[in-house]
Amino acid sequence: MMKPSTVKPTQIALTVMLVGLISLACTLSQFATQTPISKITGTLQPAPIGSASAGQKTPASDASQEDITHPDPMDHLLALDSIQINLTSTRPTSSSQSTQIAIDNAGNMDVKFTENAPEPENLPKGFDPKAIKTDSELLVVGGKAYLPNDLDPNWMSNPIDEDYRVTLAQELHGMDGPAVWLNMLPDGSIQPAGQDLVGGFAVNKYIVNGKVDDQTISGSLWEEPKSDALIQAELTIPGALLSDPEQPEAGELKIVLHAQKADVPAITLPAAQVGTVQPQATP
Amino acid sequence: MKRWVVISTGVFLLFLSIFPANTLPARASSTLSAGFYVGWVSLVARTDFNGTFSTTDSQTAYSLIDKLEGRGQLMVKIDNAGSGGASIVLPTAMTREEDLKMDTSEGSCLYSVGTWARSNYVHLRGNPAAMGNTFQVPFNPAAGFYSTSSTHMALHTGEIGGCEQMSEGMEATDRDLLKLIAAEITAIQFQINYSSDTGMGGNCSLPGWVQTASIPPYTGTNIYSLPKCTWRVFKSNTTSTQTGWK
Repeated sequence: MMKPSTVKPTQIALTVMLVGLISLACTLSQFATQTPISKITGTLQPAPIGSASAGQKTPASDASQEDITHPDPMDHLLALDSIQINLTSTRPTSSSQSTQIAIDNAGNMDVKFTENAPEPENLPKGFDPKAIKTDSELLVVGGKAYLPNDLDPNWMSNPIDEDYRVTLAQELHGMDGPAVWLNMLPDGSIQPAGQDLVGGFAVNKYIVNGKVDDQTISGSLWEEPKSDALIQAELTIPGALLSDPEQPEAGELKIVLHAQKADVPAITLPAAQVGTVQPQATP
Repeated sequence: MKRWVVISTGVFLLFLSIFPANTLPARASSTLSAGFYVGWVSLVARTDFNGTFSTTDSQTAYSLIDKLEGRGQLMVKIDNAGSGGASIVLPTAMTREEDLKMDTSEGSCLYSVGTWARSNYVHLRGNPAAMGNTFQVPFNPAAGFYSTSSTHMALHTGEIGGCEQMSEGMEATDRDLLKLIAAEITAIQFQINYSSDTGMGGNCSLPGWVQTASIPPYTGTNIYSLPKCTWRVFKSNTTSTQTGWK
């Protein structure tokens, strides 16, 4: 004989509570994707420095400077002396690029860019892909960039960029650098994870775990607190964030930044040809 | 207890229908959500040419590829009135690859030249303007252009002369020619294909770029194309005036 089924008051109360919880969960999930609801302590706060870090190539109103002129820990890294920096990004397609920067104790730089060798089908006929030079090097002395050039014996007298620190800072804030992705994350995505020693620096470590458009950006950061410089970073960005949301790209963009103290030999320019002026580094 | 389960399941399904799971962003909407957006722009522009030139004594085949690949940062700000503007920081890597093969009664000359260059273009947002489903900002990859490397090779047979010299000369000339090609780009136009409260994106184009041209005295057509130009930005949870990371 079947037991008559009745709804007890406690079961009705449970049902009401369940409804309430579902409603709350749905509401919170919407907040989570639209509005940050928490802030953390111990955030990466940049130390104030005197000058803005970005210039401009085209006229714009002063109001627009706010987009990229605020120094962040990536800019503070470039302000350090006697340091070697290596930034590598590997894209979902497995192609990669890296930037190696050596900064001497006067602030002069040796900057090397390395890219994947071009695909054979994109090469002129008869070229050996392995023989193609896919790296380039700039010397930055007194803030000006010079490109060693076999075809121009006076390259050391003809800077290709009058304020390369600004240009470099902007390039490192592109989609292959960590800053642009960290700027997208909601508050609470970067959590303190203790102290560490990396690259000769005593640093604070942070764990990165935050969602952008339901995709998780994860990794770790290491910040030197005195200078607020980003000394090390390892970030993984889902390929879906690099593509149309209706045609999400598989794979990941991996960004690895490593910096370390180094006794970098003085970076100078070779003597200019007779009749040309040798640029001098500014302190 | 079974009835409780039935009631609970019914209520659960009802609420699922009221609060659907997050769906893909809507396609381009007529109103854009106010805020500061940060994201990326990625493009590949190229020219492709294959042509020939014949005289009574010679036949020459010539091919040329110019390729510009930009990957950079895009920032968009939209105010409550729907006005706004965009800033770009767009480093571009450029290559020029050319091959020439000349056959004459005295012999043949084959040479190839490769040239690589970079630039970094920055445009900062101006005063707010009305934002529709497209917006445009200046973009000139020739600004800040610098050659990073170049190489050449030449082979000749028979008594034909000047093959190596022509190859060397083209290596130097191609640096300037690549910059001239880059200078043909003056703006980038962004088409909003999809948008939501959290971001937007779509395709982009380079006004005036896609075209055809000739390279005298060769037959054939130089085809300017834009195989890829996409962008996507995400609403930043911080205001653009804040600094540092969260």
